[in-house]
Order: sequence, then C-alpha cells, then structure tokens
Amino acid sequence: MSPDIRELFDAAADDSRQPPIDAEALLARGRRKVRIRTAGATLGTGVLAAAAVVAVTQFPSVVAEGPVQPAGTPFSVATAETTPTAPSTQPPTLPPTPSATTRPPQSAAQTSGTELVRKLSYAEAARRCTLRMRAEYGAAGTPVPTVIGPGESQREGMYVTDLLRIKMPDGTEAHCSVPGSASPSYTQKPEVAPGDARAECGRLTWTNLTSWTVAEQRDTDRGLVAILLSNDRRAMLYCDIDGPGASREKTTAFPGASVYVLHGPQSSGRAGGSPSGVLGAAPDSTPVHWLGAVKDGRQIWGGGGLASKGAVRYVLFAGTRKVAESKVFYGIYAIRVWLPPAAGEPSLVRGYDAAGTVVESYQPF
Amino acid sequence: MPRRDDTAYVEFVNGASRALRRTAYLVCGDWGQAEDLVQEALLKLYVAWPRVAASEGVHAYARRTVVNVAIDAGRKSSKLRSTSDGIPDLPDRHDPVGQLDTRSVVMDGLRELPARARACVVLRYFDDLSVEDTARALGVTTGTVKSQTSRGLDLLRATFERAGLALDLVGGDAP
Repeated sequence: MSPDIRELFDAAADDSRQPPIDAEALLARGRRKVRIRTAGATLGTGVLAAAAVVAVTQFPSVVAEGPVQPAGTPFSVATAETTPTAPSTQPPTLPPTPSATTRPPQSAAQTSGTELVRKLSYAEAARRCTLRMRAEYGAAGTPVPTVIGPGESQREGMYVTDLLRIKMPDGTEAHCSVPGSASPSYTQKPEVAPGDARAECGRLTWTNLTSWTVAEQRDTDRGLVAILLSNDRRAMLYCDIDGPGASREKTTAFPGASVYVLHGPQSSGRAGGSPSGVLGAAPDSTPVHWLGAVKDGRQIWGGGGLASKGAVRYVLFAGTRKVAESKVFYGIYAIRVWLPPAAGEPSLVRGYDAAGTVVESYQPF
Repeated sequence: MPRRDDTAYVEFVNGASRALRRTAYLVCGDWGQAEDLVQEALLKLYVAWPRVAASEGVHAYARRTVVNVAIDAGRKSSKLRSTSDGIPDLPDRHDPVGQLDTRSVVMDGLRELPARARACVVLRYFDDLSVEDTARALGVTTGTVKSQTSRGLDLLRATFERAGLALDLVGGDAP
C-alpha cells in the first residue's frame, strides 16, 4: 500500500536529530524585546506628534497633487516603414521631447503620438514612502511592526503577483506579471490552462499613474519594498529591492529593483477596453521599462520603471511598421500612445542605445 | 490590561515548538531557517501574548505567524533553499529501505511549489487543518486555499511521477 501524503510529510520532517528549542532563552529574548518596545512607545509619543504634523503638512499636498496635466503636443511619430530585423543599421530617429511635467493640456483631436502622462522618480517615490512610513509607523529607525496580524501582509486583499515567463522574439524569456495569490517565482515556469488568469498576461485593467500614491514601504532584512497604490485602490506597483543596505531610513534610488503590477482578487475588469498594463520584468532584476499596454480605441496605455542599460529610446513596431517612438523615462511612469491611422497593434518593442544598437527587444503584449 | 504570563509562555514553547519547527521546515525546506522562523514567531507571540491569549488560540497564532514569516522570507529569497545547500545531512544508518530518497523526493516536490501553495499543502496535509482554518492561517479565502492546494498537489504528483514513485498524495481527501 502506498503511503499517504501525511505519512510522507511526517517522515520528511523527521526532527529527531534537531536540538530542542530553549524556551527559557526565548523568554529572556522576549522580555528584552518587550522592554525595548515599551521604551520605544514612550519615545514614540513625541514621534507621533511629529508624524501628525507631517500628515497635515505633507500629505495633503502629496495626495491632492492630483493628475499631472497631460501633454498638449506629444512629439511626432515617424511612421515610415522600417525593418525591425536590422535596426542597428537604421536606428530610428527621435524628435525632441518636451518636458513631461510642463507641457500644456493636449488637444482632444490628438490622433497620434506619444505622451508621457506621469512620471514619478524613484527618489520621489522613496521620499513619499518615507513620509508615509513616518506617519504610519514613526520616525526612521522605528521598528516596523513585527507582528503579522490576520491579512496584514495582504492589505486590501492584494497580492504580489505570479510572474509568468514570456517568450521574446529572439527566443529569450522574460517575465510579465499577472494577478495571483502566490508569491513571485523567478525559477518556475508556470503552466497555465487557457482561461487561467496568468494566461491573461497583458490584459489587466490598469489605470494611469496620474494619481497613484505610495501606499506602503517597508524594509526587511533583505531589502526594501515600496508600494504605489492606484487611485481606485485596485492595482498597485510593487517595487521590490533585493539587497542588503536598502532601508527606509534613507533615500534609495531603486537600482536593480523589480516592479510588479498588483491586483487584488476583487479586481474585476481584467480585460476589455480599459487602459491596461502588464509588466515586463526580468528574472535577474534587469530593469523594467514597460508595463505593457492594451488598446483603448486608438490609444495604448503603458508604463514602466527603469530602462535597459544603455537604452535611450524605445520604438514600437506593428509588423515592420514603426508606430511610435519614445525616449527613455527613468522612474515609475505612465505613457499614452496614439496609434497612427491604419496602424495595427504593436507587435514588437525595441530599445536602442545612442549608437542605434538594439539593446532590448520584446513583444509588448 | 492582560498580564503577561511567562510560565504559560514557557509551557507553550516547550509543548508546541517542535510541531511548529516541523511545519516551518516543510514550508521553508531548511532546518536552520525553520528554527529561525519559529524563534522569530515565538518572539512575536511573546510580545503579543496578553492579547493573543485573551482572544484566540496561541497555537493558531503561532502557526499563522510561522507560515507567514516563512512565505515572506521565501518571497524575498525567490526560491526555496535547496536541501543540498549548506552542510549536508549526515548519512542515516537506520535507512535500510531508502527512506531518505523518499524524503528527498518529498522535499524536492515541496521546493517546486510556489510559497503559498506549499503552505496550503503543508497546513492541510501535515497540520491537518481544515480549508477554513488554513484560509484563516494564511489570510486568504477558502477558494484560494482550494485552488492553491489543488495546484500544489498536482505539482507534487508530477514530481513523484518523475521520480518513478507511485504514491497516494491525496490520501483520499480532496483539497
């Protein structure tokens, strides 16, 4: 008779050679920890007063900052036929790009072009995270609450998403991010059936980042996590830095960060005409630069984080036709693209360095 | 304010730490890390003892903390630590029928699972928790527990099949 799973687990977890845990030593550590927390609470009275000041003086301006006015004159898009297979010899040209935060509102008649809707630098994200953390948890150096209460690690029912490998045109693989209840795995290749949420990669509802706010940042012993929450509180960016030294006690530039798009299980509109996004994330923390997009009429919404090393611009192709071109934006940003007339859905994104050499190439959907 | 009962805490640690460490080991795959996780959870329990003792079962709280800490740790380290990492286990002289091989397959199978699916399977089939209790422990819905458990069992079954072992993974109990 085959052993059942309980017997297998029981045998696998044989701890007969493990020394017992010293309860008295734990008790001593616990008492010490309580003493420290008690002392911290006394100190924290003053900190809370300061945090209240921060909340009053800082958050209104942060939250009420609201959407950045969209651009009025998106830079033009060269729509000449190109050959994606040999871009290194014919690097696409990039028209001058106006400042994203100073351009006047766009005209309603916009039919083509690329517009940076919102850009939040990592330093600014970290600053906001720090403010938020101070208001919620006290001054820098205050221990992050260590007791994990029910559901506390999954605020608002949101989860870190699974990472689904996507195959690039050149045969290499990267990841995109999809809703899931499991933590990301860089080492596993999930096999999903048609209809599985993970098969819907690229079809997640995603509002733009115009009013996204930092919802949480916490440092762990292995890195730092910052979360930007969408204004509808149904999606968020999860910026995760693996590396010692990253801490909320200091501004961190997020080098080598991974950025995920998160969705809660309550999120309903994963498909359809809503602006959507998916993240192109590499397994080795290779910079993320594009949150993907879906078509919304003649518009495409996308966004991202860091650009590939050396990249200075990205070009979207529909087949062999170049349909949009964008400079590189470092930071967490939202971008809107209008497809030129008769252009199909972009099927390829290529990143170029200053010499016109392709530094990245992948499918945007 | 409830009083912190140190005697009761020590009694609880002496009585429950072994089971908690075994659960942690199955979730994280490493005895050293399992001990760290359990100690961390028990320290949190001590801090929260007055509240927890007055409101809910301390064992459920401790187990929930162990598993969530393990999941968080696994999330950061991206992958479960291999059982072959670090100092290898000493050969077991009392293993005439190859139990170590089977254990290795079990741990390899668990290692292949996403963290939450692994936790679901361990809580359901090692700790014998109900779907509802597992959901409470992990802070997820019962539907998530069912789907994650089912997914975990499928992956475990595949691992066993690759190892040429025909084992009753479900034990007659549906996820």
